[in-house]
Amino acid sequence: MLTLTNLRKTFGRTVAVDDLSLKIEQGSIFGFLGPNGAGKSTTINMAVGLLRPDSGTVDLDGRGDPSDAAVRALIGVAPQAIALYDEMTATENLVLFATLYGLSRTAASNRSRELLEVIGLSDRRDHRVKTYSGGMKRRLNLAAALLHDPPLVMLDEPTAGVDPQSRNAILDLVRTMRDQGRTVVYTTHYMEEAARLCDRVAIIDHGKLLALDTVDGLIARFGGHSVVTIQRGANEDRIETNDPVAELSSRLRGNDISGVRIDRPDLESVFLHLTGRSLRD
Amino acid sequence: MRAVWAMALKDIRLLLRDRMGCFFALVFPLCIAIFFGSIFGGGGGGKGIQVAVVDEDLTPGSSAYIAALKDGDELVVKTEIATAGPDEVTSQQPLTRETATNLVRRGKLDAYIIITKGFGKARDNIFSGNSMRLEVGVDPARKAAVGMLEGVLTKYAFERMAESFADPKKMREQAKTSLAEIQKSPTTNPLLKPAAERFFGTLDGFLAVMPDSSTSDAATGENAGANGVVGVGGVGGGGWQPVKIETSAVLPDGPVIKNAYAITFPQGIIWGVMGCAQSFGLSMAMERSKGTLVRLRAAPIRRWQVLAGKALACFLFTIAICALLLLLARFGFGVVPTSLPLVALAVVSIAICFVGIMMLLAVAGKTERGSGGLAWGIMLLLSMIGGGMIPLEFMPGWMKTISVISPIRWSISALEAGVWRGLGIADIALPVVILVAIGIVGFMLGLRAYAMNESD
Repeated sequence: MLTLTNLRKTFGRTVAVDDLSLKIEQGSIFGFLGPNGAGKSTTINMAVGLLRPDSGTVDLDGRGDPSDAAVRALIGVAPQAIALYDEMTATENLVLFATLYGLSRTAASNRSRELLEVIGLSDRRDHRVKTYSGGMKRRLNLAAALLHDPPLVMLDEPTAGVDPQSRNAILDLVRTMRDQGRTVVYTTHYMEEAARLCDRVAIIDHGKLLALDTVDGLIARFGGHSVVTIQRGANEDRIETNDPVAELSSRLRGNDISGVRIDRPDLESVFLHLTGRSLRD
Repeated sequence: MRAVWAMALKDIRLLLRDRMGCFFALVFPLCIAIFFGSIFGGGGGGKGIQVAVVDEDLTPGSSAYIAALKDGDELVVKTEIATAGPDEVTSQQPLTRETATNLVRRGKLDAYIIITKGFGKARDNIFSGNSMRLEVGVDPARKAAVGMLEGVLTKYAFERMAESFADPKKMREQAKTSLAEIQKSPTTNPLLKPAAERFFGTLDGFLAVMPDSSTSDAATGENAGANGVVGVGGVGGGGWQPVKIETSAVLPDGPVIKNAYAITFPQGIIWGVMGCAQSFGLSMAMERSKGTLVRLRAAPIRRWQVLAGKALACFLFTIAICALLLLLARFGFGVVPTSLPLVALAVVSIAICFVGIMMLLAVAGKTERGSGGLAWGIMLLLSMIGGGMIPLEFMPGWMKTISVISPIRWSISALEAGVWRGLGIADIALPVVILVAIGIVGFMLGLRAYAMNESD
């Protein structure tokens, strides 16, 4: 669906994206995972035509790069900043953006109504956006990316700063997009989200692509061992293993066991392994 | 085009919902118009008044008076006009009453001064009872300049008297000549003749014992002249007026101006237009800082369409503001435009001009604060040098000269032409062409800068 080849972008002396190449398949959720400033948004911005790469190419489904308006029409974008007009209502915002994507007045109104229903803002559709909570704005920001029913949706940190309820609603919506056959590119610095949502994850840091695989594949390759911790009174045994269940069952003998814990490797472990530092640093 | 319309309507909607923006676009200019209309009564006055002087007397006395006016610091004197002959060779011709009136009517000069026949003779014989008669026509927009102008004209007329007092010998000759003329004049009241004889006899005696100032430290001519205005003018208040200045307003050919608001509303309207341009220019920085520009740029529309939407919104809103203020002027303050088509042409050209300025403001600043400061700075500067804050006639000559670079000046000229000056299409052509040219150049430069800014 989307092919990035040897993308490079610098801002002054800072290399934001360095020789990045990858392919994103249709109908999947593709995650860009990395800390703030890793180059995720710059990559997205080049992929949607907002930034011109210094070198390298972007190709969307064999139709060319997004500097062509017809190619951009295939992409829906939810920028990291909430890109809405505060002084306008939800409906006015959505109708405006739908019009920019070529929908007729009637189609724009109908589609806006439909999406407001989906994101749970129907009852607030005629209220100005400035009266919304952060989570409501995020949902509306995401809905604006779906107005023209695009096959590719780029979501740049779509859950930044939202309450757990809105986060869950957004994640559900993203899964629904994939189920409808859309390709979703999802940038985040929350590893839990990437693990829960993404079919494949690219780990990116300092503009470089460090690893690309499924979540399980990344953990298997870079996550290290699971750790089984068995407590016996004041003592604690920690055992590193690739098969924590087998390890645990073989050691569960005797009646002096006061506690058991299995710590499986996760994307945090992967990032730590790849960069030598925590994702949250 | 639907996308451009959609973005234009969005910008208008946002401005209408922005109370502060509406204040600066509508209420503030109204306050300006009313404020200036109230305190100035339509105009100003001050140093550097530009005048046309027409010499109908053509005597050494009138020539000397013109030379004195030219030498003084107070006035910028124009006595000739370039005229193209049949062979298209341009030559300088003395101003006539008609050409001078037209120059004032078109706002090229602040006033005209006609030196009437007999001025030189009266100047040389100041006690003859004849007045040095001057006809002054003043641009109604420069009404406040009248007082100063009359003072300056009187001052230079009385300098002659000061010179005479400084030269008793010459003064005695003048007194004798004047007395002879009064005695033989058939129109002089017979009762006045004995009084004149006594006065001139006393004066002659006084002058006979007065030292010659050419060899003394008597007051300078300037001081003597200034004092002379007060002293002799006071005496003359009853029947004798050595200097007679007849002042009139140079009104347009069309309907007569009923009030000062006709003159100050164009100024107020320009403030409204500046408010519009500033608001729309600033909105681009807001789009950038709030992230909505990213969504607009990600949409399948061309880059120029984003700016075209803003340009269209600015154009429509500017025209709406002008129309609204003109309606307020008409129905609230009794300002009846002399030509609606000319007003419409002026408004459209002003809107085009300020769309161009808005485009430059839109791309000039990266942040809201930076853009806001820059917009106000530029607008204030253009307004200051263009007569939007302080009327041009208050400014020194060099500032009047550089005011030609300000679109505010041309905007006010264009509006005045149709609001109260009663001028024709030929007179408004230059301001209109300049305003449209500024608009087009601004639009093109803005587009180019936007393309460069947003590509990286």
